[in-house]
Amino acid sequence: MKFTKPKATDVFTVTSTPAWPSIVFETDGKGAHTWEWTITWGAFKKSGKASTTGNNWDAQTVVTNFGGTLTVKAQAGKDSVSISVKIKGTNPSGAEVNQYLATCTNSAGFDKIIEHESKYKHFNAGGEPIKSFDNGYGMCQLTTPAPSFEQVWNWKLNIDGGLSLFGQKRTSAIAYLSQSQRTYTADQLKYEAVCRWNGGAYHAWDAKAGAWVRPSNILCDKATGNIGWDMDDAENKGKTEAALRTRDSGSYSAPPAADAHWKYLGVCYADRILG
Amino acid sequence: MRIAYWVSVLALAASATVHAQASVALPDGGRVSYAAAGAKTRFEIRAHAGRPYVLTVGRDATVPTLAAPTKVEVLGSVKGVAFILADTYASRPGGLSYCQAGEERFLRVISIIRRPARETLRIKLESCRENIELATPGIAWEPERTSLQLNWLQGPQAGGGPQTRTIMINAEGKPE
Repeated sequence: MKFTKPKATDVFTVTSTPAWPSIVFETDGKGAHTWEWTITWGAFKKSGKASTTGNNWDAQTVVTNFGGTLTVKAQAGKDSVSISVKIKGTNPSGAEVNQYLATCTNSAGFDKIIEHESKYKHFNAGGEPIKSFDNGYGMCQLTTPAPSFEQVWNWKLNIDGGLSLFGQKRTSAIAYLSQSQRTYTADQLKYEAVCRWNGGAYHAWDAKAGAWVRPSNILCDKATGNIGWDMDDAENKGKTEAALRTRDSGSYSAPPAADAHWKYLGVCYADRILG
Repeated sequence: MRIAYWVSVLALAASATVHAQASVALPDGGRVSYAAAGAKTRFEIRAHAGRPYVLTVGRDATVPTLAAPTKVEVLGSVKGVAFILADTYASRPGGLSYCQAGEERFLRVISIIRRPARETLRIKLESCRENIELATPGIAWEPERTSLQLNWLQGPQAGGGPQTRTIMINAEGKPE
């Protein structure tokens, strides 16, 4: 018995939607078949078994949300045969990502984080999910909690995972901004949540004005993602952004040393991301 | 007289270079030196004349493995019994710059009632990775009652949300 389709060299592509392709397996065998399938990518693996009364089977349903190498063993009576094919992904456009995020609740600000950090990229040039040095997978570079196989291959589920983390920051932002029955605007909430994503609070309470305000002592290096200076620091006071950058930019390649007078600041991150 | 040490205004803070030893003054004289010791933090407490108390304490997975404290504060002390310290670290960053500018902060009660000194309590005070945040004010130490009051906007107990905890330090330097 042998497979008449597909060919072992076939590559099947998930669309940017993402929609998984029909992958029809067919043998020249007769009668009922069982199909044992395994899909693997890196350390991720999923397997199962299907039965048909005839000699063909479409794996589309079982591989939906997965990618990598799909191995299928067909058995008809005492005959069996195996084949492996590849499943690859297609990056969504920015418009597709933003369209999806628009359907998600409480995502204001997360679209800008994805645009800035990932440029909407989920797959590498080979059609496999991007993976960072610290095992961060996909568009949202999910690490902790460890992403599922589905979150690694389906960019929408990957975004859902990132949004879950962003939602926690948004909850913290609401708790912070609403303490002591204080009020805040939707824009302030967005800045507060994005700032907290990177670290720390964006707003400080101005008791005199009775309003949340951006701390006036933070000056950001606009040429960077989140580097800035506390202008209350005597070493920074009275200096311009350009002068401070000239002084400090040589040490930007590593986290700030104990004696550094610059910092990573969530305030600067939010300013950079949200404008 | 109730004396509250609000951490936000506590001047007893110092910074440390990774792996290098830094120190902070104790309220009644002496110093606490601190440095990273692999994935742990080593404290050396010189309270008065005599041998220092030395102990190594753990952090958690939210702190980069070899990171030294960026700041250590002495929140309070019970003479000859215990010190209450708070040590802060940069957060372990995640993807998409998650918590790259974040901090992780621990409260520790160090009993010196006998040698070697030992940590009798560790609580996560603040965490970017775990969404733990103190209220303002968040920490109050009452020396007369040897009592520590903690107020969180988002507490460390399951479910988060506002939480409070009062910790009494007993004659053994243990929390009650």
